[in-house]
Amino acid sequence: MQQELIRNFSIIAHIDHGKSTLADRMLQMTNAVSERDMKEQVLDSMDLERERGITIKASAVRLNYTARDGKTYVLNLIDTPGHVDFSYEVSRALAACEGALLVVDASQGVEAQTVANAHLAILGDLHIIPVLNKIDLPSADPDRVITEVEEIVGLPGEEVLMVSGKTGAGVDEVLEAIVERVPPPAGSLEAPLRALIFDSTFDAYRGIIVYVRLFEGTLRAGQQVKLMGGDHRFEIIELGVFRPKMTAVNQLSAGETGYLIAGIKDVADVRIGDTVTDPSRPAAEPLPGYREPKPMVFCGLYPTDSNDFPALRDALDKLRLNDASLTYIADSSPALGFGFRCGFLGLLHMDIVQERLEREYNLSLIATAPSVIYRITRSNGQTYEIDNPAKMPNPHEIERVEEPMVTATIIVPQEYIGACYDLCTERRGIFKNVEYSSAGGRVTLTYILPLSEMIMDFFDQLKSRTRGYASLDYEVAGLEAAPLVKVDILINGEIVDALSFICHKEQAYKRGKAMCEKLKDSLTRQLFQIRVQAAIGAKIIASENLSAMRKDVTAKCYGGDISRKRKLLEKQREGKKRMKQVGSVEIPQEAFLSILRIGED
Amino acid sequence: MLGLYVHIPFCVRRCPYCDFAIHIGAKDDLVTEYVAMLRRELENTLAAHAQSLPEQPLTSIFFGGGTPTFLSAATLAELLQTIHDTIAVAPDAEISIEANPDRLEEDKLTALHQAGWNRLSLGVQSFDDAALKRLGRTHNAQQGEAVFDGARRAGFDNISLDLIYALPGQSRASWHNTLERTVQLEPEHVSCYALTIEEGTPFAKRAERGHLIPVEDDNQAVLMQDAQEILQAAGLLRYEVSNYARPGRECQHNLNYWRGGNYLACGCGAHGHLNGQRWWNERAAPRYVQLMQEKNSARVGEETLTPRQRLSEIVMLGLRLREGFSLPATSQRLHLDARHELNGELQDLTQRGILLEDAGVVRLAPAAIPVADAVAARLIP
Repeated sequence: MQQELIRNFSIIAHIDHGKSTLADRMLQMTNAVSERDMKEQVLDSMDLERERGITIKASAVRLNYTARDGKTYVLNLIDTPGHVDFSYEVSRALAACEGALLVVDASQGVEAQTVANAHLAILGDLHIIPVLNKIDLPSADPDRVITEVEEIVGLPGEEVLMVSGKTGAGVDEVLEAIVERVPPPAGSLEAPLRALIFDSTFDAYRGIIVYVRLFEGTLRAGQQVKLMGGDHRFEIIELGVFRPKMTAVNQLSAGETGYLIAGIKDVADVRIGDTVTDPSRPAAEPLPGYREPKPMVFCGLYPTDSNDFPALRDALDKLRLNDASLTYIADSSPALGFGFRCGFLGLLHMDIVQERLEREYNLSLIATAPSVIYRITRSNGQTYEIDNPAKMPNPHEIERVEEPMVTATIIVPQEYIGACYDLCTERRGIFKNVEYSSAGGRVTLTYILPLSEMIMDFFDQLKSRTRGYASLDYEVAGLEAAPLVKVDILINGEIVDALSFICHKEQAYKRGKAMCEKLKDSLTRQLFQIRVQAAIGAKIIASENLSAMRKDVTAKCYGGDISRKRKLLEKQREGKKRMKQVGSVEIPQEAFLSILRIGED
Repeated sequence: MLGLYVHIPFCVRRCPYCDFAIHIGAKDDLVTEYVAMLRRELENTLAAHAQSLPEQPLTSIFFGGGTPTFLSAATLAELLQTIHDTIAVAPDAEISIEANPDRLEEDKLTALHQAGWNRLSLGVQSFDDAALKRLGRTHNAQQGEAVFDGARRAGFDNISLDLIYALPGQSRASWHNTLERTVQLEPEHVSCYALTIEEGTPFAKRAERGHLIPVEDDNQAVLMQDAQEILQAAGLLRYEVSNYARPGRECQHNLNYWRGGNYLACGCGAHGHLNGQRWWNERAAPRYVQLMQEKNSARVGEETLTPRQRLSEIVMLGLRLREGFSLPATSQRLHLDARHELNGELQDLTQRGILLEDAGVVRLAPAAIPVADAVAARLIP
């Protein structure tokens, strides 16, 4: 295929700015989907994606568009995940393109992820076409938003296109702009094969499907390929493109985008950002920018019914087929039994995995509070990392604790700036910068914050304190030493390992006390008094008492009552078997659930 | 020990807290037929038992209800005579009858005593007129006392009073007053039942609508403790969760239930038990009559208890008794190792002082009596 007739582009946007609706409209206008097959958000194939209105996995579609110059072009649309957790995946998807549509909601204006995504595209040398979406809405304010695009994103205002994904207005101009403004791909067809893996997915019938963008050389069905990040070789069983249904082709050449199926068994063998080459004529260097996915947020996942442990293992194995960035190792907690310590790219990723496990695999889970990786330096100079608060050594054995930091960018209307300052200060933030835009009175705030504070309920708080107007983006910003301590929660003197947490020394008392109160409130009274305590090492910092139950006895127990009463007790006894036991205190599952669920406020 | 329970379901009216197998406003025909069928069941059951185990006499007989005294003294005496005619009754057997203070004439009590009843259980429930009214009772406090005195004159030297406490809206002082008036009567036995809101009763409906707010457990515990203190000070010792007696006057019939003993049962809704075999009769009186007429039996259910289930019952009931339960005796009776079955929890609860163990006999520490069910739920295998 002639490279000058190919355009590879993606659509980037802040969440809810109408990216998927615009994509659907473009599919429809290029007849990629018929009116009949048109369901909302064709590209978001997972139920969860459609429901949450977000894109979790990237996706690629080939559109045939006959431009005003009379020529028919192949437009490859590469959809990208819209969330900060998946910024590496976004960067790889962008690396597969020469251009990007930057979609901005004409009422909402530029948001934090608009900026973050635009920066990724600029770094990737992409030509950016700014698009104002939802111009049909009465609240649309194009003049203000164009100013924001100029001032905050730094793109020329006269290049901005006005569209409505909903009505279709202006979408033909977008298609035309892609042809005119996005440069065609320019890789050599004769050079050794180099194809970028920008996503992969697992299909129960066809195995692992690898999404590729060819930069140099040619791929043919049936040929051998090698993934340069490892030593594995595979034979291509099928090669194809998305129209948007998978359609087999005999070959793909430099500049084109498509998929390959090669009998790959383990999704871990297919790493996003890796380079595919021809083992008989390998490329000298892989394509740049490959990075190992690194989990940032960790939590323990335990089945509420311990018999479900094997089912949880199977479910995680299956989920990982679609999500190589999910990590998990078997773990056991005296309080919660057998489960897994899981690593995620971020909080949203964690939520999505939990939700899929519960929904698609019908599991009932207890998740411990999310944690980050801390670097511990012991008094003897030894240094290591922990992802589980329970593994933190005693205070006197610790020389130093370092925690991961992030640079957070918050874009917010000026009147909420005070609320943002307060929140960031509460969360140990260090102020870096503030920028004002001339139109609309919006402010861009930059803070350095501990990641651990970010994963608590920072985003929810930010949203509620700014009435939903603030938007947030963050990127990793190294490690910082801090006076961090581990707080243990004890029930009648025994540590409930699943409830230990790490926090700043000055917040230990407040959070410890809150945890004790919550735990006390969610326990039922038992035969003896229960003491709930929070401690740093051997030092008790907070304590609550739950007095023993005073009365639990049937008044009458004669001939006819005996069977009935015995059956009742047997049932109660069975219920107790399902409780988690710490020492001789029975803790109902619900107690853990409620503590861990609200343990974030 | 072999007990016999006889159920007389008839009542003048239903008390709003009651969920027993009772029948209100029975026509004379039903009463006559019921008595006839009850007599037939007594004959069948007792004859069969007497034949298979002739050396085992009845050691207790209990006429309960309902209101047994709804029947005439003559009818009741005939029923008791039928029992005597069919099976051996031990000479010292405890023969009890339940009665309500209203419409109970002294000559009826005399007749019952003469017919062979040697123990009377009076449902006085309270000595607070306001409380009695709330309970839907048709007698007042004074009538309760008068009937008690009448029973003494009629010859009863073993009288029990039933009391209900933890009534919504009842003050602690009112409960104290009832207990003190009880003590003044010098009964041999007192049962104190915390009001239980049973499903399907008018009280349950009132509670659902929020018109009746049950007394909180913590407050019930206080009232329970008050009863123990006042009654024990008067020489009535707590030998079961809800039962107090002068030493030697414990209800033998009920003790037999609580020790997992054997008992026969006749009448609608009655439950019997023989060595791990339990059975029960049809609950509704008219249907009971019909079944007896058609099939010569009104048995509608039975269960065979596994040794473990029997152990559970012995533990559950034994914990309610001051005397507790014996591990070696239970092991021998059920052919299992009771200590082994209860192991971990038995040890833990003993260490915590909730259970006391002495020479293989396990009992609840007195302070833990109010939480006997919670202990049982932990302890049963």
